[in-house]
Amino acid sequence: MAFLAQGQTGVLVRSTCLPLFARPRWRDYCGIRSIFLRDIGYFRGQGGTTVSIVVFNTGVVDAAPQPFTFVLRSLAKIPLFGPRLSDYVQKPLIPHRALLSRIWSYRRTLPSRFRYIFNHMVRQVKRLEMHAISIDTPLTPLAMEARSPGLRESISEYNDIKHENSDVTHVAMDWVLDEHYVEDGHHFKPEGHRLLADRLLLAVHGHLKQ
Amino acid sequence: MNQDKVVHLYFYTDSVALPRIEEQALEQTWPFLLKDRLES
Repeated sequence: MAFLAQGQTGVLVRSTCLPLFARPRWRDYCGIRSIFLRDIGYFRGQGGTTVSIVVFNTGVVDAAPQPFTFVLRSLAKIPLFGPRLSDYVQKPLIPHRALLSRIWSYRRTLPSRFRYIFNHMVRQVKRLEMHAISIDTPLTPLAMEARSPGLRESISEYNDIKHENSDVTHVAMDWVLDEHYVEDGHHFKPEGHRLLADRLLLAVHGHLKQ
Repeated sequence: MNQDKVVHLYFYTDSVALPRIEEQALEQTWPFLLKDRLES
């Protein structure tokens, strides 16, 4: 957990996918909902001059179609020889991800489950009289479709699910261009970070004026 | 700006919020840039 407290603004950043926070190395994903529900008990609510805002940026991991062979990644969990077994069985399949996805793919979080989790988290925020902001998942570059077919359509579907909730301020990401991404098509270059911060600033100001 | 208010920001994100390449510092990411903009 990274916590910063300078001046009058406190920033709490939680990530579920980076090795920034201690976690077993085989857990490449842990439920953001469980972390959120564990943390929210410590959140400060509204009161006096305090304004608390929760910013959600979730969905891309949930929406990404994964080839059925992804389950083989669990081979690496086997003690001792698991990593080597994974090298021989699972890693040779990685270059064929697109083909395998077209045969059969699945999403880590079903749309119905994602809707339930997202709405539940927003309800918890509102229960504590805090504000909620949700950042749309930006569409990945078209070139990514060659590696992960159906990803853009799936992202749009999950964005629509988030937009069903009117208790949260949605930040559109239709301004994102291919050149804002690094080579992986997911992470932002510095310019992308700056532009997103500018748009979030507008959303935060909207809540501060209330 | 907002000298009369204490603002708490909580971010729940996928890894895309944070830098992938080593040359990028955590302070260059949008949660921290937002904080800087609010304090400026």
